[in-house]
Amino acid sequence: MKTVGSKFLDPDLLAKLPNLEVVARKLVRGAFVGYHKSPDFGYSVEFVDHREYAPGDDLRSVDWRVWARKDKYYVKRFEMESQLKATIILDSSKSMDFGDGRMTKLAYGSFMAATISYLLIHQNDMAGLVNFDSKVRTYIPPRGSRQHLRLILHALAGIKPGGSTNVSAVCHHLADTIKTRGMIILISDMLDDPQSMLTALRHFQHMKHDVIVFHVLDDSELDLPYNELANFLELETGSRLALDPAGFRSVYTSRVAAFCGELREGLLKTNIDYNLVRTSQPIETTISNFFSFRARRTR
Amino acid sequence: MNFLAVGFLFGLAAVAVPVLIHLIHRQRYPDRRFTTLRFFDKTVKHNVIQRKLIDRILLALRVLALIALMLGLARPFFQTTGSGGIGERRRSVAIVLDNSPSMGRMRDGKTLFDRAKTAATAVLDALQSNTGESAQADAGDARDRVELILTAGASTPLYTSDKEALKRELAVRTGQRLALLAEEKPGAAGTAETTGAEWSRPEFDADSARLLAAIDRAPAGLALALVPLEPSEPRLHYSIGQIRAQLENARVSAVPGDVRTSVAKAARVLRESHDGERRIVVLSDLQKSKWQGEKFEGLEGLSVTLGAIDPPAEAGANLAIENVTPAAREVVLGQSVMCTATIRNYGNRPSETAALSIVVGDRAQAAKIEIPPLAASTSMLVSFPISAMTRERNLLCSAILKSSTDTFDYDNSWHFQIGVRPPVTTLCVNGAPGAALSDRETFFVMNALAPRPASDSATAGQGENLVDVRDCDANDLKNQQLFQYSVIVLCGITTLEPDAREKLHRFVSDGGGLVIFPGSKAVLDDYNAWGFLPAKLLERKTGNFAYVTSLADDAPAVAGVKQRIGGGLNALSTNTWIALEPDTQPGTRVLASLSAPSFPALVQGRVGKGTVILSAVGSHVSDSDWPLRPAFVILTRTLVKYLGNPAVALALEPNRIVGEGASALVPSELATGTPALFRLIQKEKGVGYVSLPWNRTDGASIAAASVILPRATETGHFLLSVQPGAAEGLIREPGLGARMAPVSVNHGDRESTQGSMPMADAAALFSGAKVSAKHLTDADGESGIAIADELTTGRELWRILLCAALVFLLLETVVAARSRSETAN
Repeated sequence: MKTVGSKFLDPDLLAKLPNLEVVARKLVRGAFVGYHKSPDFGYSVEFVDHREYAPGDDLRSVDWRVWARKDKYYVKRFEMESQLKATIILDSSKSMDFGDGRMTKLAYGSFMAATISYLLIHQNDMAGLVNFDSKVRTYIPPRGSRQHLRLILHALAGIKPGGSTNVSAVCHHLADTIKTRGMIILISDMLDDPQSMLTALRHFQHMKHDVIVFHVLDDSELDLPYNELANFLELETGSRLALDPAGFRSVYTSRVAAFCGELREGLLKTNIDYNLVRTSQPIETTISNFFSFRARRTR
Repeated sequence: MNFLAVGFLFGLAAVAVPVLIHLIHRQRYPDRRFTTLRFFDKTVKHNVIQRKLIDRILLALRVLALIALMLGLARPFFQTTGSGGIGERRRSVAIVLDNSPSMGRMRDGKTLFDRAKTAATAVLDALQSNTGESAQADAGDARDRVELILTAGASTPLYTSDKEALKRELAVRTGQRLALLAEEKPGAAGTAETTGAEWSRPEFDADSARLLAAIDRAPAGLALALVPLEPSEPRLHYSIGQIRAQLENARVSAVPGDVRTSVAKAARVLRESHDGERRIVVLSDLQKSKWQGEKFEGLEGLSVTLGAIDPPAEAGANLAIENVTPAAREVVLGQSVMCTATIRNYGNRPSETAALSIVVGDRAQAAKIEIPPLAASTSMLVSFPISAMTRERNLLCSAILKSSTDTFDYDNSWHFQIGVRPPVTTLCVNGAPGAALSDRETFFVMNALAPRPASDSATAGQGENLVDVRDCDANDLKNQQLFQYSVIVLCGITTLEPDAREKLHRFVSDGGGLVIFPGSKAVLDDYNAWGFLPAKLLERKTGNFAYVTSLADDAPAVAGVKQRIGGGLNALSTNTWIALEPDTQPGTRVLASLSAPSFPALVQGRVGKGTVILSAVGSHVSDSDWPLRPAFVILTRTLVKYLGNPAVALALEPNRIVGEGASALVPSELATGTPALFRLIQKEKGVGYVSLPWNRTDGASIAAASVILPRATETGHFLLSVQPGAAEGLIREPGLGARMAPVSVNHGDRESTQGSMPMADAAALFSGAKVSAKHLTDADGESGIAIADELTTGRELWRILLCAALVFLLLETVVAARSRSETAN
């Protein structure tokens, strides 16, 4: 039987991510042993167990003896790994309730949040959820239990879009609230002031969090594919503007590109991962690509 | 401003289409939800305004293109006069073509009428070339319209085997009573062998569907003609080709022209038009006799082009036969009648010696009389005898004047007819065989019936003589072939043998006439036993003086006798007579009464088809004084004449003037017959017949007591024939048993008078109209082209408008393409 929030867990999607590990680029501190390096010393770094080889694993860690016996690749675990506390911050402002494709940005973000939560919890990490618009609407601290996953999924199912986006204020607030170092996964359309957003995200950085930004945008926002004159209605403010999108497309796309570029530059300077995500892009691809990329960077 | 093709103006409604699309498109501007407007700024508004501006420019171009297209197709024009008008004018032209006989005059080897036709053709060419119209087309309303009006009526029907052309003409004449005739010319497509019974009978109907079906049923190649049975109202035609065909078939008519009526018709039809150019083109020789009179009325707002076809430069002599008058309308076969012809020179110069040919019946050799030169505007009488040497009932004669210098031969012939009375063959039966000449009972009757000189007072004024009177004895009667005789007169017969009695009875029953003078020796009982006498012979009265006191005035048998005898009636006295008692059979009547109370002198009775007249008095002086009286001669001749000529021709005036109609009384016994009209033509051997269309009120045969003849359009001899019974096919020639009435048609004198009216005077007659008058002096139609040039069309605005529409469409395409290009970028 499906739970309330299970609508964001697509079995097909999950099936495509069987061996995906969420790897924190930095060592995080955890109460339980996870798959992540602990920054704490004193734990044994000897061999612990084997794990099935996954693409991206260092070949030096492959246990060739096991391979010789079982003809399967296993890697040896030598180090103590701590649990990762990941907090997924999902933007649920009105602007996220937009999508010309098969789903809105909010739905896309919800799928992403659910999937990431599932992956984290199923590899014994902890996942939490923050839902915000102009302020924090829902805060679920990171936990590692399966019940907690259902709680997250239930929360995701109950999210109603509303309010305006205020990423910077929320981020400052959360940076002060989340004391334990961990992973901050921001899923938002980032329709806020870039500099204030960068400042707020640096606040996370300052608090030693590993920050990942998923800038979720619809294709229509990026390409402005409309040709007909229309009265464009801003979702968050309700203001209107008569627009000939065909004649303005080039200017618009350049401006959006500049905006995204500014974000990217600013975030990369502070070593924050920035990932521009189109809602037309398959979620598994997005997640797989990104975390594979992070795993490579970690090693 | 007006339009040649108003219908295209409805196309302006199409302008609403782009406007509606524009409005609908504008209304469909969506309220598009979007995440943020932060990336938009004021330049966006400017862009929207530009886009709306482009949309409106495109809309305006589309609307303008449509308006220009529709206006161009509607062919606008401004109703201004002269050639400075803007736009094209649709033209309504009524060509009044004078086809009166005077137009048949020659000038430089070409008739005036041919010159007029050339000019009219040039006008039609101008209409056609300016409109680009197909001559065969008959639809649409964007073209000029034209009507051809002949001043002297229609010419002979146009036969054609083109069924489509007939159907088009039928469509034009919907509602008009028409006759569909099949060609009967020998050797033509529709000969008697190919036409068949169904197609040799004309179809008379106003039902166009029935005529249409008849045209479809017609064998291929059969030449047909649609002949209007009543005058058609003029109307403007789009099909110039049809008018051209009418023009080509127009001929000089024998009917005098009526310019006034024709111009009135043209004005009437043009007043119903709203075209920019409404013009009457009158082509005439302006002969005085037709043009003099009051001014034409009802021409306000119309234009008139008067094309004067000038007559020959030097009009010479114009000899004409005014009339020919026979001294008697009817003569006995073999007798002569004096005829008097009036020859007049209408010209303004003396004539030269001419020849007057007299054609009598079908005689090949005509008598010729030399006509001396006549001074201008003088006349002379020419007398000539005509001998009635023909077995025909009517002697058809023509007087033809031939002159090498005559300029106008239309009036050079005169057709007339003389009735010919066939001889009444009479047999007088003598009741006293072996008697000497004067003692013969038939002596005085033979004497009365013998030919008389014209000076004889007893027969003066009758203009007739009974010939072929024979006699025989009573005992020889049974050996006689009685069918040779028309009348038998029994004189002093005592008794008749049964064979002779039966023979006489059969003779009378078959239509013969019998006159009986019993005489003093008659055996009354024998007479009463004959069985076919109209009265019973009661007793012989001797010594009782009696005389004729009265005649039945209304009895045809003694018609006119009383007037001619006068007081001599009482001179018919006698002492010996027979008391008669008329029977009560129908048809029995007393023709004359004796002074003795209640005793008749003459009794008439019907026996079968024949008539018997019984006298109470004998025919010899031994019986009475009657034979000694001149009145006896008159009475006897009248009785025999009556019995010998029972047939009465159809009552029809023998002579008519061309253009007149006529009606003929039909005898009751032919009330179900079929009428037919023929024109008699002179052939190498004898007379031929050309069947002509005729008119009748209803049904397939005569229902009324008269037959209406169409008005004569040709001069010559015609023959109205009433065939007994209903004919299955077209009557190709007068048939056996038909009752015929010949009629001769001659010209009037209006067309004979020469001299044209001054053109300025003629032009002044067109009051209220804008008149331009031209002399058409050339022979190659250039003058006609000059007339056609007056049919100005103005500038062809429709071309400009169509070009503008094209430009607008091109601009729209360019702007739209550029807009789309910007959109794609």
